[in-house]
Amino acid sequence: MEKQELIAKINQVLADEFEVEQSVITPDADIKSTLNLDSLSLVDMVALIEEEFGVKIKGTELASVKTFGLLYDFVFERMA
Amino acid sequence: MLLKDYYTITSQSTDSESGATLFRIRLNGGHEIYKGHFPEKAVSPGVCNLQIMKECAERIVGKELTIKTMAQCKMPAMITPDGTPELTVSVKTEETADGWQTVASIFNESTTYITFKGLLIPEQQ
Amino acid sequence: MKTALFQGDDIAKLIPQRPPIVMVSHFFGATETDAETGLKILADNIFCKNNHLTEPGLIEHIAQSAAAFAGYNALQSGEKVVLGFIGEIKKLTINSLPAVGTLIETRIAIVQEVMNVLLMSARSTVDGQTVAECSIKLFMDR
Repeated sequence: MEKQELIAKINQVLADEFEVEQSVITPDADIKSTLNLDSLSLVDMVALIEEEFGVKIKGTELASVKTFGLLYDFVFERMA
Repeated sequence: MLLKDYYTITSQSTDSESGATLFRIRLNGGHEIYKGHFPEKAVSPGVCNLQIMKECAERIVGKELTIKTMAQCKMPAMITPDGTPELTVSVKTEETADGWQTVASIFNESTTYITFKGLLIPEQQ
Repeated sequence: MKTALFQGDDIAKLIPQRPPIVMVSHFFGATETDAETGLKILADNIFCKNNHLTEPGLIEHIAQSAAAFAGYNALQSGEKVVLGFIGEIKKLTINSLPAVGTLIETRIAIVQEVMNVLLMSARSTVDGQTVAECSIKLFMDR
């Protein structure tokens, strides 16, 4: 999957699941505040990304993944 | 009441805006369940809070009910009989062909402790 | 019946709950991702009514099964067993309420863990028939 395609897919999946407009999801935006995630729904987001993109994510690796841009890179690297 | 004297209902009213029934309740911190949950710190078991919401729904529909499905039940904060003994239970039921689609929550002035969305059916047996 | 790794009073090594709210009676074993537990329903169980275990009892059994799995993993790695609280239950279906005297067997699978939240899926059976299934999140107090 090309990176642009992956980014579009991630945005679509997250916007659908967490009921936000896709337009608010930008590379520099903070994931938690944009999607209104608390510690419970953060786990849902990780499980959703794993399921949709067939990647394995360790919870501890996510601490530094704060923005959507970092999330795109994170998933892209693991799919490559 | 499944757990005898676990709580008492002190008043009941209707929220004119949402149509939900509101029950003011008071937890009994002396209940035996707190001996085991937990010995060093009394915390109201989440499933007991769930049971309170179900028993309030039973009062509304006038029948004994069973939880058949639960789309979601969130417990974002802990209820403790010492810290938060006085609470409000809000319950709204809608009768359908399958049973009662029910939305409920328990909260006080500052915090929502549990929310429930599910289907209740008449008790079997 | 299968042999259990922990049962009776030894369950207290895996979970912080104590009587009258101990809702796991057997811990059959675990792999890295899955565990199997059981609850023999006794007549004096506080969540029993009309000779059956009610929904809060069944759900508490599932939650404590998840906690027992976390506790087992903690023991294996030499850590302390901590308090766990239900954070969320989703997609719960209850097919039937098991009768006093039966053994509920529950399979717990870890789906994900982020920070102090554990996401698990659970299926409980009696004699091979599914009585309840759900996905459950626990807050681990560590």
